[in-house]
Amino acid sequence: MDCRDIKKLLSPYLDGELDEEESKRVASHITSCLDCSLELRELKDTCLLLKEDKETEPSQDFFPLLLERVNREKDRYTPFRKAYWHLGSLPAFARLTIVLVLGAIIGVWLGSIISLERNAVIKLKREGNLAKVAQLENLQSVPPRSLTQAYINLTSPF
Amino acid sequence: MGNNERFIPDEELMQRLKAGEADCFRELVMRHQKGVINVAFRITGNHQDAEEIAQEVLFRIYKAAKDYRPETKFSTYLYKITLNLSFNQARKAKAILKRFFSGEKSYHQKIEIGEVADKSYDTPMIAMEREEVKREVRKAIRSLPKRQRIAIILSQYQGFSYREISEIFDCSPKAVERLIHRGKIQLKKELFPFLKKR
Repeated sequence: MDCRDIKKLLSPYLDGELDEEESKRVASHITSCLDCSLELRELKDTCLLLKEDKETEPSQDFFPLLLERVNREKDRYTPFRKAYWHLGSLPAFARLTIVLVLGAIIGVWLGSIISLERNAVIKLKREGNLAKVAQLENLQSVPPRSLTQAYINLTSPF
Repeated sequence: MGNNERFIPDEELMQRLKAGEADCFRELVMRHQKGVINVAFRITGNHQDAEEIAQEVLFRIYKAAKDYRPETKFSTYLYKITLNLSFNQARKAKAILKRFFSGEKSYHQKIEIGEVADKSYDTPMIAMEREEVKREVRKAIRSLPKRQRIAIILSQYQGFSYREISEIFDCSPKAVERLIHRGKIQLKKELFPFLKKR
């Protein structure tokens, strides 16, 4: 390794990023090379100079302000959103099971409503009561030659 | 989370926050607030902006906890957001200039532009010299290309390894090594007059 190769390794050498073998090679080179040891010294001083610009501390109200914002966000949460938050923390199979069970319950409930309505309509038809439906007061106000009246005439069994 | 308890990794704290343990958020903030503020400050050059960015970053972390996956390293995730928001803020040059030229400057701005000395027990002469060095260091860092600047800030100030930086950049540690090497050479040139004084 010549000086050009060694100089490329000086920065990771200073940062402790070289493996043991490379590190030894650099260390042994700089003991015998004035130019490279000077370069290493300057790089080291540059890094020390960077450290002169110390870290700034957070202001005293930094965390209270953040906490206030977080609490405002929590208050915005409706029970539905809270449930969604907790749902997100469950494993995938548990979430899938919950969705399927809820889907099944809603499906059965909707199915029962639809079948009840259908049964009621069939019953009305059988008893010939659809005429009464067609003669309801609100339908009597429909103009005689309108599209609505034509539809009622078409769909009415009488 | 007392001193006698084992150290809990950030990723586990996020998992516990996701499960509803609100205290874990406080712990995460205490661990990372200083780092986030300082990275944002070194990019934007304005302490007030840096604190606002840090507030936004940590708030986003809180909101994103429910979708957090432990496979993502927390610090990579945190500093990616910090860097994005900081560079967005720095890009709003018009607003920054407006603030700079109007009205009262903040205490940190005054320190930065050298109107007042930073809290120090040094003699006025030494304090002035220190301020000058700090100013030049900040100027030199800000003169670096974006990726070099990020790599230098994360490695020299935040103590990130080359591998951790490579995860943020999505590149190899060797590429980070080259970035940092070039950055340091550039900084050495810029700060050469101050090196001579040491």
